[in-house]
Amino acid sequence: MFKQKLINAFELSGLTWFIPIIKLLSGENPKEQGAEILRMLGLPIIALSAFFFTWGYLSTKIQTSVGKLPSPVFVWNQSKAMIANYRVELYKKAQYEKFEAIRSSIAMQMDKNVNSPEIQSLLKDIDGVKTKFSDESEKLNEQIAIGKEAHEASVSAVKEKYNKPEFYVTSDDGQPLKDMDGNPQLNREAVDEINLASEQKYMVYEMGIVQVLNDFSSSYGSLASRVSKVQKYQNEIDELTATGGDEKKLAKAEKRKQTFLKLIRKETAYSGNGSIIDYIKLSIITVLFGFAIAATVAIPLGIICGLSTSFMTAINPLIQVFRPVSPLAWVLITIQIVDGIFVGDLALEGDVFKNTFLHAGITVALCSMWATLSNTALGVSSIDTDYMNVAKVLKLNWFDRLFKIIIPAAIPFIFTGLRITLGVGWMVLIVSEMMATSRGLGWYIDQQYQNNKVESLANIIVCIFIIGLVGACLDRIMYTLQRFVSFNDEVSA
Amino acid sequence: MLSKYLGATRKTLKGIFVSTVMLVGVSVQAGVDENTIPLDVEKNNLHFGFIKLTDCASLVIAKEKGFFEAEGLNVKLSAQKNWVILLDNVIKGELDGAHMLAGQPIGATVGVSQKADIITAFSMDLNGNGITLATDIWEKMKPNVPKDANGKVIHPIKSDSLKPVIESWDGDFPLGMVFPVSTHNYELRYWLAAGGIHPGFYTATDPQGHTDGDVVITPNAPPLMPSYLNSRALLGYCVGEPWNQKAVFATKDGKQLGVPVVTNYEIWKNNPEKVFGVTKEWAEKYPQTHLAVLKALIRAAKWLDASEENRVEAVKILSRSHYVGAEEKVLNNSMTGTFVFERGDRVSMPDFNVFFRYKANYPFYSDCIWFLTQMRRWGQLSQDQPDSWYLETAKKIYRPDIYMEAAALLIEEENIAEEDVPKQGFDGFRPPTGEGDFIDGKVYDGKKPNDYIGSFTIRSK
Repeated sequence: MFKQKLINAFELSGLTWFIPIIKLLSGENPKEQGAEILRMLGLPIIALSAFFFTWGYLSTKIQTSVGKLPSPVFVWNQSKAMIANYRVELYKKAQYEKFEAIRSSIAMQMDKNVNSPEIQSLLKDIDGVKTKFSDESEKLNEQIAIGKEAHEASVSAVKEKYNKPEFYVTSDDGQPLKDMDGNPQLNREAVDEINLASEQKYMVYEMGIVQVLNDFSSSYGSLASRVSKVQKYQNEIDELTATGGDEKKLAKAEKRKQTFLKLIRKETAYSGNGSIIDYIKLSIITVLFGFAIAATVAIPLGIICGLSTSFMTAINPLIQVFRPVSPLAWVLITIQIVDGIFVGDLALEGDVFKNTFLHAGITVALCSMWATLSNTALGVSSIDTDYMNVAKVLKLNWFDRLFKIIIPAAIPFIFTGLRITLGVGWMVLIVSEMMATSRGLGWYIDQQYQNNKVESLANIIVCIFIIGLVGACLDRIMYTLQRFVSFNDEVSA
Repeated sequence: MLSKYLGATRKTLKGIFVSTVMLVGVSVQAGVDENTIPLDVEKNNLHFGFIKLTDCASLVIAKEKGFFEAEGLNVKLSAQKNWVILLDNVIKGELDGAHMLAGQPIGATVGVSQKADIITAFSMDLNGNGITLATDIWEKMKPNVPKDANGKVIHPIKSDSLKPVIESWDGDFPLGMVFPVSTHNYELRYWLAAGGIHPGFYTATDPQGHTDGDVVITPNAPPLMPSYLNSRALLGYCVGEPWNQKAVFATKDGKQLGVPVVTNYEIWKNNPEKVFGVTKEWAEKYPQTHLAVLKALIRAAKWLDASEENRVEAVKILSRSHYVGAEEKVLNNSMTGTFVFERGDRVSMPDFNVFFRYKANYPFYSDCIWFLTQMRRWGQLSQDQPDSWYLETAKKIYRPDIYMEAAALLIEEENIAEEDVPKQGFDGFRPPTGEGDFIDGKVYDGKKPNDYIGSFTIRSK
């Protein structure tokens, strides 16, 4: 039955608060289910509102080195601005692809004949695109102007509110102080409020699009002017050859023509500024990569440790020493080793797979593999002796014993270890990205920190929520897998 | 038209339109590539690094105002975490080139820092740093500072007035700078030593540079320096903008957090600050690309110095989150040529940030040699060398020949004027400095580095 399957799935993944909703929807004892929903959903909602209320209250009290602590509303607006930036990036990418298509078709036609009618029609297309762009940006600019007016009105309202003697700062002997511009110096509260109001983002998406339109409009402009330059030099060449003109001039014109032709032919790589979604994706890929390394190293090693107490005794000191080492220490040595190997022509230049990707991934593996190793060892060494006796009776060879008895028996332990590994890995990743890479969530946080303003502090808070949410999702996935492979329900959530 | 429905007249709408274009900061210049003759570049997709400081402006402007594109270059700019990682990324080829401290290519080539052959053919800007002291230290030294008839302090403030404060100071006197081979380190030491305060030597056994010092100078990340001043981990620092102004804007105990006492313009008039560095290998592999990059950078620098409006627009662009990212009002101060020492003491300094004027972009051998003399003076270079060694080393690192080649192309295209750059055949040495050029009044002649080093009383032997 579908309903039961759904309930089982939620039970397995630990998302138990969906279950009463399903039961209620299927009309099962509404009163009881309603109470259950209230308990399962209501209580967390109460806790969350208490959290946001406290945060909102504290944000009016707590001073940071860059201004007031951003309020939940400010942070929420900032997260919307980040999404708007992502949408702008998408738009930019689409425009870039269109541009490249036009450029390469022009290049292809140019190789045949620089004055062909096809090129004229392509140039006409470019003109069309440019007109369309300027129409679009005019429309957007009208919207931006309205948004700007509203923003400025709200800022000046705040300024008005705080431009009163009670907010002026006076020196020790009661003299009013002047600020940089000679106006009365406002106290910190007033300055912070004004800053908050004026730093509030508005029309982010529209302004971003206008910028993209302008950028591409100028790119199309240069492309068209390059085409016309090639045609100009081609005409010169034709004229010179027809009149049997100066060899030197001919050579020069030919050379110029070739330079412009080459410029048209050259592919340009996409160079975006990156957006929060890209960073999240990259961070997840990196942590999974590190997790994969950790698992491939730690599971076999753990099995050997579990099977042989002498081996365990031998490597135990190493495990004990390396396990508590901080990611900050690992990442530095990882950077230097990786950069020593992949240097010069060997340097990795993939979109994702760069040196920095290895730095972060390997650091994650180094810091997080220990949980899997010790859990696997524990799982293997604590196998029920009955199983081993059965294996002896059946006269299983070593290989069969390993794959049919030992590993299956140890799997719940291994997955417990893997779940811890992924959790630790995600925490480590943020730190190592801060230190090692020039992409990803950790790097983004560090960049924002360097920007040193309230707005970037709000961005960091948004990132903290994102990191938490992604970490929780990863943990849920591992929890589900863990439940899936374990024999009993004794798995802690 | 939408305007009809809005009930706005076309004229006002146009006014709003113009102001928004200014607001977004992308009023596209028509025809930057009109008379550009692009070079046959070997590599058109380039990746440059920078540090979040206002003096990376030439790189950002070259990209945003289409100067790179005019040369057929598709450039990606990435902010780097710190100077070590930036240099590392250039050396290992992850970056094609970067915004560097003037001392970095030199330090790398002579092996004071990471050893690598880095060259520069483009000096990005002049001046732009300041020395800030904690407010209580300033108040202690203020009575010793010479004042005019109105009781206003006379700039430049020399470190003589700080000396008694340090002599009576109990415990360490920690000061911050940016990087061991940074201009800031040399400027801070120069300023201290000019007033008889010993800043400490580097020796074979003391790579920290604290030996014999009256103060303890340590490298710190620029954005953190104001916080260190606040927590008293530092009592003063030498750093670029906006971090001196930040101390003026910030408040501690009802007073401003720190007081900038001197700018590097006052320590050494029109001193070189940042350069655009690439590896020697890269420059040899992509000579035409290098020239094209230089052409774009020179034009961007010219644009930056062309007018006040351009500076204002540049501030808007730089304040974007993926560039410098600080608030416009903080960037505005230094970029538009004003400097606040104490609240209410706003001084106009039109030359605080120079990107193009005074032939700023030309990589003078004499500038390179000055850094070498300072490395010798403070013991980072432990051996005495003949004058000829200084010139040979400078010729390896500073490449005015490449700069002049790029400049000649721009003159031919009429994108810059002939008088904007030194004449062909110029020997690469600034004339010996005048009386007031250095804060200690010393004369520096790049052709006689040993005489210059010998003229200092405080120096590593």
